[in-house]
Amino acid sequence: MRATVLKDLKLARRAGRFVWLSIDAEDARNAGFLERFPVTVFPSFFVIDASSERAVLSYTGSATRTELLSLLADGESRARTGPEAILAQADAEQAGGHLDAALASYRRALAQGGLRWAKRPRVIESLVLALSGAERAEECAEVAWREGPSLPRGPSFANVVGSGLSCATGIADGTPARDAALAALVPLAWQALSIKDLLADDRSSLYEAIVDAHKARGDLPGARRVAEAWWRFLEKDARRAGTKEEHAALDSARVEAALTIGDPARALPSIEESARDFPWDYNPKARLARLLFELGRLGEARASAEEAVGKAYGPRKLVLYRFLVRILEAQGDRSSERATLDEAVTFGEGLPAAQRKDELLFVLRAKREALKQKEGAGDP
Amino acid sequence: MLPPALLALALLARAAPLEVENDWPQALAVARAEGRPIFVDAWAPW
Repeated sequence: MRATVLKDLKLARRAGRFVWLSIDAEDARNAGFLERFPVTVFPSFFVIDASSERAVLSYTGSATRTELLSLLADGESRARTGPEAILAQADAEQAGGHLDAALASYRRALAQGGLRWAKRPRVIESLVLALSGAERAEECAEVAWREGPSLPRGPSFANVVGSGLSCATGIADGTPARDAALAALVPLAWQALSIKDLLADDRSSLYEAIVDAHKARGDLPGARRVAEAWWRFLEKDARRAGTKEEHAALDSARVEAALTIGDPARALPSIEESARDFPWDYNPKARLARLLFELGRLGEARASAEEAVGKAYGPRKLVLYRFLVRILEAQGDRSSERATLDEAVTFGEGLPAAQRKDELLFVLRAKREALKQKEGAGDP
Repeated sequence: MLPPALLALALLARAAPLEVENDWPQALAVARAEGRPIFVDAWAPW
């Protein structure tokens, strides 16, 4: 999105009425902002009233230029009557982290706006995203499969069924609710893929959600078949990309698709190209490490992972440390593993509170402890 | 009267948002001084 939609959006007249703040959530300089406005999903957008320092609107996930312009309009002019007023309240509650209140307000806005309300698709989308963010998977999936079919076939429909399907795979295994949600949402996701003017990000996410749905059902051959279709789309997108940034934007999807197909090597040329194009960026090196590890090329995987860790910053660095430890473990290099775990824990403990990843730190500390115990027991 | 190309540039400049990177206090100060709301794009590099 940053490579395409946002660049274009800045040229719009309405965008000129805002101060535009770009926040790299991994950068320690932004810890203060993140304490005020926690961000867990990327990208996340906020409209903030500078005088009160309060967010009047928030939105998560990718969005088209038209959708973002509409959000800017919503953030700028707050109607104070009818369903629009309730929507404004819901947006502010969502942006302020008052999830239960926001969910209730979105539902009230929908009830009052009725079936023909022009904002209905965007409100259903906000409701589904809020439920997803609140980790209420069953409700999120249910709203998506009940309301999705009534929506016009556009970006909101695609986001509703894509997010709903991701929620459905997160419902407890073997429950009737999950089976029903997957059965309803997979065909809707295929319908969404037939929409012509979909963002490449959104199209790729839909393929990924369908792949994950097959995996959730234990249907690995089905997952591989969908991943092949996903890969063909990614190849087509790579040919269409106008810039190196656009080309690299779907690299993580290339890795996931290739791994699902069981052919990590097919993603190597593309990721190697990104590593050459963006030598300062840790992402291509981290992705190369993952592919090389799956190919059993442990020495090269280690070199790539070490390079990625060296370039990385912020909480993501902990994820890269964890993967490097996995490679060192596979190599049987205990002393490097111990030194890397020490370095990782020290780094993680030094992160600002708003960026600290306690669960990941817990895992790394536990690994370090287990390694110490093994060594103490004389296990070679 | 401005030539069309300069006029287009002037209009573009007027329409351009004020951009601030990774600096919440500065964005807040600029927004207050200009009487504008803040649009935040929070992203991650991965």
